[in-house]
Amino acid sequence: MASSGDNSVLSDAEWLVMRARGYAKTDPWAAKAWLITARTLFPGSFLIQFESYQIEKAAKNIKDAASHLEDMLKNFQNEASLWNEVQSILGALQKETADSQSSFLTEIFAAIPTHVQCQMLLSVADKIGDVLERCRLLLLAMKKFPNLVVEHGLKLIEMLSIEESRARLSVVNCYRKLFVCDILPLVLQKNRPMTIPTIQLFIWLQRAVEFYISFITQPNTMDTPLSPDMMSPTKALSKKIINIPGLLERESQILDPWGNLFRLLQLVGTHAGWEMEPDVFTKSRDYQWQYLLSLYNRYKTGGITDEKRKQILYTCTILFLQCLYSYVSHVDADNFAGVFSSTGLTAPVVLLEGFRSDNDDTSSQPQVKRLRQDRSQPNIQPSASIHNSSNIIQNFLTAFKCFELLHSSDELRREFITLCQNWQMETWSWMGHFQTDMFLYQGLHQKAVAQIQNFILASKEKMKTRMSLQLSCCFYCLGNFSKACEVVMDTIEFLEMPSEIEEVKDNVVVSGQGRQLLLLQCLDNEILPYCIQLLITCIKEKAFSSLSNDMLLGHLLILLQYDWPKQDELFNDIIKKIRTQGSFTYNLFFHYVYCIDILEEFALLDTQEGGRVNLDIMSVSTKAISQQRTVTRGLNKGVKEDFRATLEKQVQNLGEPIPNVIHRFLKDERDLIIKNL
Amino acid sequence: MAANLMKRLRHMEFPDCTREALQQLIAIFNQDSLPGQPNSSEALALEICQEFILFKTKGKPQKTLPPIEELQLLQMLCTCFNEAQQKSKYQLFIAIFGPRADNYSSALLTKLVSMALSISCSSVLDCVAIWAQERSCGKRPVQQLTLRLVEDYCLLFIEPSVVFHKLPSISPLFVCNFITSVTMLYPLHDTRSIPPIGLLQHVTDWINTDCTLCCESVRQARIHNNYSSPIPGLTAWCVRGTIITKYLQNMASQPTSDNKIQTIELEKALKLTGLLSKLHLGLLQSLQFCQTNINNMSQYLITVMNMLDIIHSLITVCRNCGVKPEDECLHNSLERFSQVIQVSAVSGCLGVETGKLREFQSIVFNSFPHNRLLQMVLAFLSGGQQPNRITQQPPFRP
Repeated sequence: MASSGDNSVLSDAEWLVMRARGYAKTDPWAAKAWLITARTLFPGSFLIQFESYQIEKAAKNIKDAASHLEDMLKNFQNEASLWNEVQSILGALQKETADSQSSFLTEIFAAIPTHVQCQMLLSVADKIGDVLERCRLLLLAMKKFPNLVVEHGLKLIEMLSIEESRARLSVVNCYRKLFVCDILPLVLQKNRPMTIPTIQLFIWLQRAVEFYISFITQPNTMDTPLSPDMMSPTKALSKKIINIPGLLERESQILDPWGNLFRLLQLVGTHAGWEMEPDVFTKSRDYQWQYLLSLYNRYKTGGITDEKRKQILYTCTILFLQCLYSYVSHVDADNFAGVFSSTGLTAPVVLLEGFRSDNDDTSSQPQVKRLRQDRSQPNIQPSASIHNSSNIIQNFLTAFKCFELLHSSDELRREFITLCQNWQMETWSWMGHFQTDMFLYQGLHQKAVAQIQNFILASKEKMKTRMSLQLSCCFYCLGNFSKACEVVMDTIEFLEMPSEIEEVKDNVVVSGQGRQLLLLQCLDNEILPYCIQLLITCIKEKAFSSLSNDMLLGHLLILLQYDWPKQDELFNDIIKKIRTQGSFTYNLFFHYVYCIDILEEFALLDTQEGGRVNLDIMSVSTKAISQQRTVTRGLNKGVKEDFRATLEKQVQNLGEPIPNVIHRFLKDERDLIIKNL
Repeated sequence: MAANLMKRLRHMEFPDCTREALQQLIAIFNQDSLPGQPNSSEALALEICQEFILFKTKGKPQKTLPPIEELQLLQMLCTCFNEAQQKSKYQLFIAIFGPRADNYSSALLTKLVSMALSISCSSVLDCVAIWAQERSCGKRPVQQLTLRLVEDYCLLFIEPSVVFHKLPSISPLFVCNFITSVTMLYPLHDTRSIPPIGLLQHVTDWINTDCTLCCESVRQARIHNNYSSPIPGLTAWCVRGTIITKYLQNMASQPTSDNKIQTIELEKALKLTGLLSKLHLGLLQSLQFCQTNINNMSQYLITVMNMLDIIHSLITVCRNCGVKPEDECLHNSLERFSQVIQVSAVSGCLGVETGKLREFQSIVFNSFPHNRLLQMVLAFLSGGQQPNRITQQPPFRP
């Protein structure tokens, strides 16, 4: 490369840079030597400085590059190429996956003295127009330099809230996320307590709760196609892809929203001067409830001030929401379970009124009346198929207790309602499920019915089944047996019958003091026994009352076959009644009764020892037969022989499984059953 | 007193006599020298040294120790130097090696230096450095020692010497003077005075790793009342070396009968070229360092007189190597020279004698083709302005 004469259009500085560049690849030492000389000749030349920086960068000399960068930042504040370089360095800092280029730039940044780093971050952030970008950078700066938080944190919060309201987005938006998850905790941690006005704190807390709840209860939307390894049930629940528009995927991930929320509550409490126990929210539900209760009682005795009420309000509300969510995610898993609550159950759980066993029946009052009187804490009996039933029940009960606590005083209730309004809780469909269950639990069946009827039209499949079940249960408790049976028969129609009579493991008939509730899973094999039992109980009520008729007894007989011989006491009662009556007319008998024991018993009834009961149970009524046949001798004998033969044939005839028989019975004779009730 | 001591010593056999002698010498030097009796103790010390260390008794022939005993002697000397007080070390050294050197004492000195190098005895090496500074690195005794060391450590084995490699951490002052000395030993005037590659490698590594070496001597000038600077010599290497190595490359590229030798020669030439480039950078960085240390430096590292010497020698070299004005290597050489001048000037290391700069400029103008960088540098020097960081230059618009 000629060094004199040509290229005279270049200024001296430019020429020096050109000479240096010329050696960059062939002789890096010479390149450096040229630049050292150039810097002494033109110390104010940005061009030369920047070239020196570039050459050190290319040679991967981190320390030298950093020191050049530092010099330039000090002396050349207005050079565009310098700021471009700074931007790319800061961009590299914020990148999640470090490739070789960005990790190199990060190292350069790390080699600069910290006060210069801080300067860099702040001056670049100042120049950025886009709020989101600016926020990201300031967040980075505040995380690296905690002493900036006090000055910049509050301004940043304000900036985000203005931007959010301007953009009119839904609750789960990028600004809110950054505010709630990243900046607010930082601001609260770094500011001294009692320096932020409590009004502000509570507004922030409300917005945070709103955000987290909305985030957690987002419906499962999988935007990306499932890969094979995602198909496994455990993995499917943990790979909910969440994308908050405006944020990168990694920024959208919130791994422990409940934990975050509780920690936030803790921070707010510290700032508001609350006395709090630090790790309450990691302990058991029992402990948490006791803690809350003791807090409430303590304050009550001392006189509840505004501040203390706020503490109760927020602590209780957040606890309530968490219990509520945990509970509802077992109720409507499809919509609400996901990353944050994997239920391990395949069907929603349902809370239902249990059936009292007749053994406990000390009083002669009808069951319905008893239900109305028994308002003490009902007991909830879970089905064995629900493996984490104690958790579920505890969540439900804790939520219930919290709800009651929040309504225990006028002021509290008012404030809670205000919160609900602020959060537009009426749009939270999952609350509805809880309220239904709560009414059921409290025995307020009429209210439960009203609630269910609101929701049932819009629901489908499993949820619809669940609601129907609860509806029929409530009708039963209210004494409206015909409606109860109507609804339950509709439900049964869509259930799958088991292929054989399985050993029904759980008892839907529960013994014990007070009201008994059941927690079942909406699996066909669990619901069916309940439905049958409901039918039996409804029919039984009427069948043994003054309005009884043989039809009802007959229906009962058919239904008792389902879990034969479990309810043989009832069977005995029926037989006794028939014997007392002396006659029994039920022409559907041979269509649906196949159980040997029952057939034997009826055979016995026909005999002398059995009581010579007049049985009109053939398919065609004996009356009709007797009208048909001409009166001849031995009329009855023919009939009797028919009867025996039919009995024997019936025994051999059992073709389909009993549950199917019952299913058929309920389907075909539905109207008849309802008419009789 | 003195006579008793001498008598006592004479009765002893080696190594006891030497050991005792050394102890006595230390005792003598440790005493603060009183104005009353400087001469006598000095004279005594000298006598002891002559007889019991150098084993030169008057009237008797030089006693040479068998190798094992000589080794013992050297070890004792090293230990003694290590343990002596700071102020006494050099006095002792001078007492032994100060008087006019003869072959024996020169040889002993060389061996002592070798031992000191191998056991990393910085006390001895520092003393040798000061001695070299006092004598002046270009003078015969120093040059002889230097030559021996180069032969032993750079020529004898192919692999770089580990001892040399860590030398700057043992005695930077020694290294500084050593570099000064080798630049005089192998001035790179022509193809016969090229420094051995191993040596050049060491020097390059030293300077590039530690930019404080070159000014070490000057920084301590106030302490020792003398100093040496390797800068002129290194500059000469970079300037003249550019021409010489190019010349070598050209020679090696010409067709000859023996390809193998040609390849070797070419490789050598290329290696030299590379080393010189790296050395040049190290030189500039060492000069840069001085800018921050300017208060500690009481002398200039390079002067315009040095520059004149170099430029004159460059003329000769160019003539001998047949360099033409448009040759790239000539301009490279001038540019390297310019860079050293510029950086040393800005760092405050350049001493400008009155009128000499103009002389330099006129030689450049008359004897060399126009070189833009050189012109820029000379203009800068004449302008006399000190570097001002705020000076704005027009921005570069590509």
